[in-house]
Amino acid sequence: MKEKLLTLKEAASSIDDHSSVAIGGMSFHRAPMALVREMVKQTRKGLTLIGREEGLSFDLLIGSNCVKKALAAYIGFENLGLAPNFRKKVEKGEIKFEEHACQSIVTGLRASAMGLPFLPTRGFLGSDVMGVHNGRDLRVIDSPFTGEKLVAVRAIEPDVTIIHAQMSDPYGNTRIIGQMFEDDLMVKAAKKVIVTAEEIVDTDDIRKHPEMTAIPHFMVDGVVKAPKGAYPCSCYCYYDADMDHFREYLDLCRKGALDGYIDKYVR
Amino acid sequence: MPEEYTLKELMVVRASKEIKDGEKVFIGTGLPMIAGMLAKYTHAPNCVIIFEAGTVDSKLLDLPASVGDPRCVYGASTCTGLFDIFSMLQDGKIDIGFLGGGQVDKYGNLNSTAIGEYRCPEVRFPGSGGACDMACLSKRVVIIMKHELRRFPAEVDYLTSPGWMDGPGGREKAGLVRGGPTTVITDLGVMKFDPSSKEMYLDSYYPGVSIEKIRENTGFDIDCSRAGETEKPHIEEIALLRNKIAPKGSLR
Repeated sequence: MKEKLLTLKEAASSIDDHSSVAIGGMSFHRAPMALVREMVKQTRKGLTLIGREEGLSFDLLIGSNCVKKALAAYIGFENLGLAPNFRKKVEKGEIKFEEHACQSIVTGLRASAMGLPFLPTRGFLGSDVMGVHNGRDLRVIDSPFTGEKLVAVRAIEPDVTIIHAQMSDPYGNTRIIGQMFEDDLMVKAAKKVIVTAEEIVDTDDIRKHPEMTAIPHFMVDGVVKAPKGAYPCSCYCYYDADMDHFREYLDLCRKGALDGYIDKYVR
Repeated sequence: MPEEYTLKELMVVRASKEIKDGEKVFIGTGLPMIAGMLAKYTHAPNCVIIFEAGTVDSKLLDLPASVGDPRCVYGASTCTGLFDIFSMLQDGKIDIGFLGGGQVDKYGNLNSTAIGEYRCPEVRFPGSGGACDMACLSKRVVIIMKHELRRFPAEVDYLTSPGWMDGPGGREKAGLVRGGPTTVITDLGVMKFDPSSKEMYLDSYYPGVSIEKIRENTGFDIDCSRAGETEKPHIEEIALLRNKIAPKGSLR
């Protein structure tokens, strides 16, 4: 077996411009922020971002002109307010946005993880989330068995998935503690996977409790040791979210000073 | 002397009453979370609070900042992920969900996506998140909104989360198998939906709020003939909110 340890720099440069990238975690929690910052630093271009309920990771990449298209159910800062760069770019028509809801992201990833072209759901009927898709990714179908009206969700297959986990061994056996979000599905749906982890542990140790390993090594292409790699997001059992950091980001962006944020925290 | 109660406290207390004991409750960040905790500490100790990020029946000691907060994991019955939680929702295991949004119309259809033309919007909101899913698939939905004219239009600019659609039979026609909104709680009063017309009507107005003010802030005709004054919160409820559930002053 081959060790897959990479530096943050190597991991970010292994993500091609114009590829589609699924980003794990959610809004304030366990997003792979150290790797996202490195992608901004390396000025990745033309990315298609895939996520579900997203905040700083998406907004920072969008504001830094790394993104041509985003696909998500939600981009915002929950109780702190709207996502300034996402909002600005969508209102000006500078990025493409594919409207989803949580269920379609999760179902599309699940389909890809299962090797299927689509999976049916019962959601979306009557919602304009269906309408704006024009049958591209969501389509009404009849159940072949019961005749019920269902919605088929096209499989979502990211070129690359990046997640942050609490623990991995050098080969990519990865343990996620606390809420899974949809990180497992993102990993299993993707063509290539990079895991950043708080700790890199001995493979014999992680294999003592294989039932706690969410992701087997062969699905992982790169492993990065990144302590505090989710900061300012929380990482369950390691640290809480730094809400003041998110407030500072929003304040700076609202003043049009994203560069100031980047100078302070990214470069 | 501190205030008898604040507007937000009144809203939270009223929202908590929507939860019945033993119900499975799908809860989002903000006021609904506080309402859920209050229900659990008062009339509904056996309600099961479910957060979409993966935790079921947490023992919340401190108010989480979001549904994916590490605080949600403490003492939970199980901790899983989106796929399991949305499967429960699709399977009809969730009794009640709380939703907010940018606009609501008289049938309880919600917009949390965009104001203006969708392709080049005047205001771009965060999007559905799980709202569309919850509106389609939970057994009933309670809406919490700010009561302003621009937020209560005759028709929503974009229908993110289906309410009663275009009236009686609308949901069935669309193919939805259950659900629909039952209550709208605002900063002025409480609205419900007529069982036959599915149109929103005023059920109660807060102490000190006039029916006229509610009409002025509603962009469609609203039946106010059935309305009475909203019951004030009890001192025990306010004490719980201030001393135990939200002691950091988030309801001031």
